[in-house]
Amino acid sequence: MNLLESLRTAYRGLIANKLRSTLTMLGIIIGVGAVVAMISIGTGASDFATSRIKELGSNILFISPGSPGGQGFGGARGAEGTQESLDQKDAEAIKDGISTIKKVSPEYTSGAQVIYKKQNTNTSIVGATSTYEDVHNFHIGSGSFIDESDQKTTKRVAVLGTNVVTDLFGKSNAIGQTIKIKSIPFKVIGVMEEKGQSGFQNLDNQIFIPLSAAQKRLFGAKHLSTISIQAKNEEVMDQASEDIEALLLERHEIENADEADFRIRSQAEILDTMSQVTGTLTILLGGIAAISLIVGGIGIMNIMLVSVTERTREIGLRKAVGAKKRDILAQFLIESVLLSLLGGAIGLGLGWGGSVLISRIGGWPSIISLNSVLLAFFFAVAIGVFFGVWPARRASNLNPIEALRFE
Amino acid sequence: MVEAEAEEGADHLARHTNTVIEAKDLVKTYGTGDTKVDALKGVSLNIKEGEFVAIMGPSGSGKSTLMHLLGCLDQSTSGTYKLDGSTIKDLNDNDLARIRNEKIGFIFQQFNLLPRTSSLENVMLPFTYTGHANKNARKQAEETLRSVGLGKHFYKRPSELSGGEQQRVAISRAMINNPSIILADEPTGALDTKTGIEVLNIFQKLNKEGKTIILITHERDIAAFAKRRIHLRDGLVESDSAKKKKEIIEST
Repeated sequence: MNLLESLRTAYRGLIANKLRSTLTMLGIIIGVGAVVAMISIGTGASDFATSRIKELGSNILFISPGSPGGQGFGGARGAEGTQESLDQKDAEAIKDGISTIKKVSPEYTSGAQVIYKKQNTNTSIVGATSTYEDVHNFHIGSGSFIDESDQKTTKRVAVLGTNVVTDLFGKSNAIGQTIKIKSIPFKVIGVMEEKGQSGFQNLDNQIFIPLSAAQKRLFGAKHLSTISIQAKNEEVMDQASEDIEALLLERHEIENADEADFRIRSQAEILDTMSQVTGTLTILLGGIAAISLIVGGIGIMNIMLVSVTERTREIGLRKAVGAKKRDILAQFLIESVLLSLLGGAIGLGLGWGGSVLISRIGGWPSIISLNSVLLAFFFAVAIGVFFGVWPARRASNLNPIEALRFE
Repeated sequence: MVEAEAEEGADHLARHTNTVIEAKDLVKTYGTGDTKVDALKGVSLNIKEGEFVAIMGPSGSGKSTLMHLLGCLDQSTSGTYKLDGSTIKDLNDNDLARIRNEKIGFIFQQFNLLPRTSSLENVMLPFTYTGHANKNARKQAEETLRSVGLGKHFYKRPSELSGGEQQRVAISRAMINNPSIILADEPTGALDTKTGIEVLNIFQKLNKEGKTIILITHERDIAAFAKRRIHLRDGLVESDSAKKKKEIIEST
């Protein structure tokens, strides 16, 4: 019996029981879908992490305010970063007092509504200084970035991320125009290069203004939301981190390091946290995948056993007209593989769509690789063969006389 | 091709020389010890090419067992069986399957057509298992269907055909590989008398063309269409007689 005919026979068998076939495939669909989503998110996240480290270098430290109520137990604690414990003086003290660091970028970030003519958008406003560009390795695309005199004179100038430009100006030129942030006019002096997604945040969706302007003119704040620090090189990172901690504890008059009102993290640590999250998600999806593949496989086996019983007379007849054991075996095996392969294909599509959706919604990078496609098909075929062999063997071992008599 | 076969068949009919089935002292025992059942206790019979034989007997007489042995669905416990010159003994399942495919055409009481499958494809089913491509498969199937009067039903499915028509599709399927014998097991059992007779007339027509037909039945009226009748009782041949022309119901 040639393969094409076997496929046709198998296809006919599946079509004859559309609903049953679809329900049977469901387990495989979910399983393969989960496998594909898992791999695409996994590779996406690790690709992202490595590219970020490559891009930023592994010599970046971030200092963020701690949560009110300290790090101890008991009492209600505010969210991390909500404490107003860092200020410009801390940043200057770090810059002046620590020898292992190269650049310091104090930042104040908050959300606000931005208006240009009739267009408006809600975006994050980053109060930054001239050091921001180098520390974040995020540079100006056209025009100029905030310089020291802008900072000193609290000048109302703004540098836009590319997304903001598109939102507010469409395709027309933004530089030289005036936008209003919280009703205060700012002149656009530059547009950043395109950077894309970073973790949960889209870097192109920001507006940069002088730190002083953000603090004094817009938000009336004295504190900072982050101090980003570039160490001299990777080797001195630990030293720098320790020195900064000691300095800030001293400045904030805190004796016990456990009660620190700030937190120092490296880029690597942040990426670690992120990869822990993706790791958890991967394990979760992997679990779902494994369970639904097994359940799906059992479903296929079950349906194939039913099908063998239902078609006992057909098997008897095929044997009577000359089908050998291996013909019958092949016929039922092909049917179960076709079933799981079809499920695999649908699952692949859903997994693909799902991971694209996740990356859209969660700002999560996802990559569909040839590997995941191959793996999905491998799993599908393996499941089809593994769970199809037993029913198929049962069919092929039927005694033709008894099979023909079967009612 | 079919004409050539018909000629060849007619030739054999005239000479009646080739012995298709040679069975000697066939014994078939099922089970062991206390549950041992001797279904056949030593059956010998020869059937020549072009014969139309009815094997009769009440249930339990061993006629089904004999059919299984003759049809190579099973092998005897002892005794010898030669089909078309080759000895059927100690063969494995695959060899038996090949012999069934090449030398035997089965016709069953319940037709056993594949559901949701056209008449043409049902008829071509044995080709699926011959192991080599057959370019003329379709043409042969069409001709065979035409020869049983189903020229207009190539693409109908079994559910769209009457019982008699379904059985004729089954007959076409049995003939397609030009087998040495056609084994029909109660072929009219599921049909009304009129269609049953039509089917039997087809058998007679095929027999005239030279086909060797073995009809298994418990009904005397059905057996009356055959030229030779073998009665079985308790696993033994009770009588074996060729009938004179006037004793055979002839199709008109």
